[in-house]
Amino acid sequence: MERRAVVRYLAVLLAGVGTQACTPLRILTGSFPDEFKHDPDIVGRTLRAFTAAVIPGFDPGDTNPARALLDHRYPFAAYAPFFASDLSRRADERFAAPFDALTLEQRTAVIRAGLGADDTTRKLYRGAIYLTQLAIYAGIYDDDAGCPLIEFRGRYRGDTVSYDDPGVFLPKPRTSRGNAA
Amino acid sequence: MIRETEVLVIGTGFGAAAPALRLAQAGCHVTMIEKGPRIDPLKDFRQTSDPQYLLHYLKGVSSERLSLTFAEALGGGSGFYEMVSLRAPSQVFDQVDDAGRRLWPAGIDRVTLNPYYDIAERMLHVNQIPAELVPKTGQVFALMMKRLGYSCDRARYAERGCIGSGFCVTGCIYAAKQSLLLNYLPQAVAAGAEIETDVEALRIIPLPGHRYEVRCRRGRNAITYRTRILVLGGGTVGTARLLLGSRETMPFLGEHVGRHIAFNGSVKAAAILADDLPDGDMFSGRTHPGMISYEFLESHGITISAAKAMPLQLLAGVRLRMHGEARQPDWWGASNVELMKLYRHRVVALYSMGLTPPAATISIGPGGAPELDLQATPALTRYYERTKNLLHSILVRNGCRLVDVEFVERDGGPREHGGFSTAHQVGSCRMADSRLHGVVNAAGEAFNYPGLFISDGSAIPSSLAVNTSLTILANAERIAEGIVARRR
Repeated sequence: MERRAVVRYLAVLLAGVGTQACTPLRILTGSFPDEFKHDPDIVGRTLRAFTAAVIPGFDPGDTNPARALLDHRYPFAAYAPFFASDLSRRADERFAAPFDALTLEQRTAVIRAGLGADDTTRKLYRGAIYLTQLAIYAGIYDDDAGCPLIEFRGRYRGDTVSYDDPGVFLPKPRTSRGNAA
Repeated sequence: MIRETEVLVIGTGFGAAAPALRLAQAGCHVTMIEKGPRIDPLKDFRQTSDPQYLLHYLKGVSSERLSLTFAEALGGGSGFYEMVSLRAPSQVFDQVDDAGRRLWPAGIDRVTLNPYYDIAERMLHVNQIPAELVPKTGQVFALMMKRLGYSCDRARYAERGCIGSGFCVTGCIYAAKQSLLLNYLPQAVAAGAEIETDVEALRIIPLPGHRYEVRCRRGRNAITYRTRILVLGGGTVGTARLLLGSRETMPFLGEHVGRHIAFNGSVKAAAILADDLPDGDMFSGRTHPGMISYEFLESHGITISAAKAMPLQLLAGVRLRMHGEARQPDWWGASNVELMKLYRHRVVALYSMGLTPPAATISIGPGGAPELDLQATPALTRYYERTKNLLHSILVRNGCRLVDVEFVERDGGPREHGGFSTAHQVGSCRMADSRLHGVVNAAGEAFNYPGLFISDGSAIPSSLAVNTSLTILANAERIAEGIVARRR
């Protein structure tokens, strides 16, 4: 690994090193199963299963719900293979099955365990959830699609802005034109 | 490369646009420089939730207890603000510091600013929202206040022909929002001003004869401007950063640069609407939902509005969880989905702005990045709790079920100290009656540096309890009038 890259990783992971060296060192040294480094399918499957546990009931249609986690415009993508491997390891230790084969309750338990682990792992899991929620609820990759799950329809579609008969709603104003004296 | 100009205006937002226009109209050779990119208001804005688009224009600086958002783009924040344009209430100008000293310089109050508010309102086509266009969210908020016997007023906006598409904060693709891109800036150019974008001012060097040299960069290229009149309008963060970076060459700036930042005491609360209240709608109607209550201005020093946020704006800043429920894992997973499904129609959020003291500080950290600090004081803690309790009381007395609003860090983690987040920061280089208390005088001219003016939010010495843009613009008009008069 180039020195610059090492410094960059160390800077990002500094907080975790102080409390629990295991996870940051495993990321830094690439000490996780090779299949997660070289097989995008297993990473993709695991991350899709993760997003389905973070936002149960979301129907991604033809799109990849884990796209944001692999998008190199966001810093998380650098850690996505390790994150997928960590989900897989915890799934195997706890339920003796791949993460993407677990039930929703089991996947929830695995994620909760990650959130309760050392500082760096917690940040990794928290960041993955945060980015997943942003990407899916806000529909960041498709301005037209939005997120049907929460009735967010993306661009303006001519929705009715107001209820009729505003007098029912509006109390007596304090000012004549909207500015306080 | 050295460029000579008679007037150099740094920034293109509310504090910069008025001096640029008025000085250009007075016949000065005016150059404006803007750190951010050029924007064509008819082509470049998008109705989008793409974070990359917003991050191109919107920047932030945060500390444990305070987060500030600001724009770096042609027109400053005017392209991305909620277009709320309210005059600061009279009592704003009566605020005093711990020693009982009035924060605003002598002679500046609502009455003296009113003529400049008039000008600013005409330029931006400010008008009160018609009752029939108040968004559902604002209507429901107004009904809640009405039920409790409180008043509520229709707010005022800089707009012409708003259809309520709801994307004010990503830029209005219909050019209905009257940003500076549609009035001050094109009029300044028509009067002869030049605007250069992607130019960052790095350092000011005073020259003999009360002239100034400003060292800048555009990409990798260095550009130097020399000017007789220098107007700083880069905003509360930008102007402080520039002056702090010029300390070595401007040793007589005084101790107040970067200090006394007021942040309008923003406190937020949210709830699930009671069954007998009609639906709101977070995703339609103008971003600011139309209504403001001055009911608690005298008693608590706050105004209250409803708040709306598209999913991106919501989730980038806060986590919602049902009040009183276990802390894990309801900010994600099935219970969070249930809450998010309610968000559009059944969640109501209240937002207060208040007269918190100018207590935050910006400094320059290692590497040149601005660092923000807000110390927790008992008074600030009391203000936060008192305001939050009042907002909760309004919600609960309407039968609503409280939702916890937890602010998040950039990595998605919770902010341990809760705190304030705002785009209404003012006062890092405040006006004052003497250099013992501020950076510029009432005319906006820096103490000890004749010909250097500050006309942006950084000169505003106190919280305003309402959105800040109109007051910044009105004050900039006032300062511009003074500069023009002196030039004659």
